[in-house]
Amino acid sequence: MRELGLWERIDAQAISALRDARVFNGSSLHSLNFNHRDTPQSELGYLVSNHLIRKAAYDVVKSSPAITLKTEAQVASIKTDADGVQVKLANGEIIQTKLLIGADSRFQKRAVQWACRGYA
Amino acid sequence: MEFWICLANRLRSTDRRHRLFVTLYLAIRTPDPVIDDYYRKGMEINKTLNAQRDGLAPALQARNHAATESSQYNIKSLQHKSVPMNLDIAIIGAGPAGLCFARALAESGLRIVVLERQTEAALSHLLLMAARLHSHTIQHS
Repeated sequence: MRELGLWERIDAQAISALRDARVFNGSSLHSLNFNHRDTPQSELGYLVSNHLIRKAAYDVVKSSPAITLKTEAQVASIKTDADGVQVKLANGEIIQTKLLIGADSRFQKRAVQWACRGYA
Repeated sequence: MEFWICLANRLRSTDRRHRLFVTLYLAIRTPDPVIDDYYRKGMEINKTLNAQRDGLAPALQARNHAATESSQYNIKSLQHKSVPMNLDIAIIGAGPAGLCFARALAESGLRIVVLERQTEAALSHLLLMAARLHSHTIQHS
């Protein structure tokens, strides 16, 4: 996140340090303990709200001229051939691309399903 | 007639004044049946060509008109976005993963597009994002 320029866009107050962690399994009283003192660092990691990460990512993408962000763009169909991928949007617009990445969350497996169908 | 042409040719290479004189003489001299015949034939050919050109004019105009129309149609179709947007990478979903991946490749020189179903406001306004409750967050008992 530092490399991508996201970290500096998140308010320091909104970042919580994870010092220790305990992992429980079901109803077991035993836990797996992680302590930051076991590491050379003063914390195991950080906790940041998802919407803040998303907002910071949106801001860096908007400030990057190489990236086009198309909102209200619903994917209607995906077609793969030897030249690449043809994505058709609900508004009729066609996007021809060499590589298509499905990053529409693990709950929307649409892109993955389409891609798999193309190679099946 | 032939004599005069021979004379003209001979003088052409030597003296411009003589050439001019001979040419003028040939021009004003009494009508020669051979020259007249050539002239008449030439005029006939010219007339035929003109007629053909005039006859073709409407067809040519129609063709030019059609060409203009079709080029206008092409421009219209371009504006109508029917020509595919040509890219290197298209990313579906402007979530943290999609946006970060796009950002990581921004310096690579590749043409990248991120496609998002939601509105721009839903991405840019913190309150809208924070207030969003995903259906998968709610646990069914």
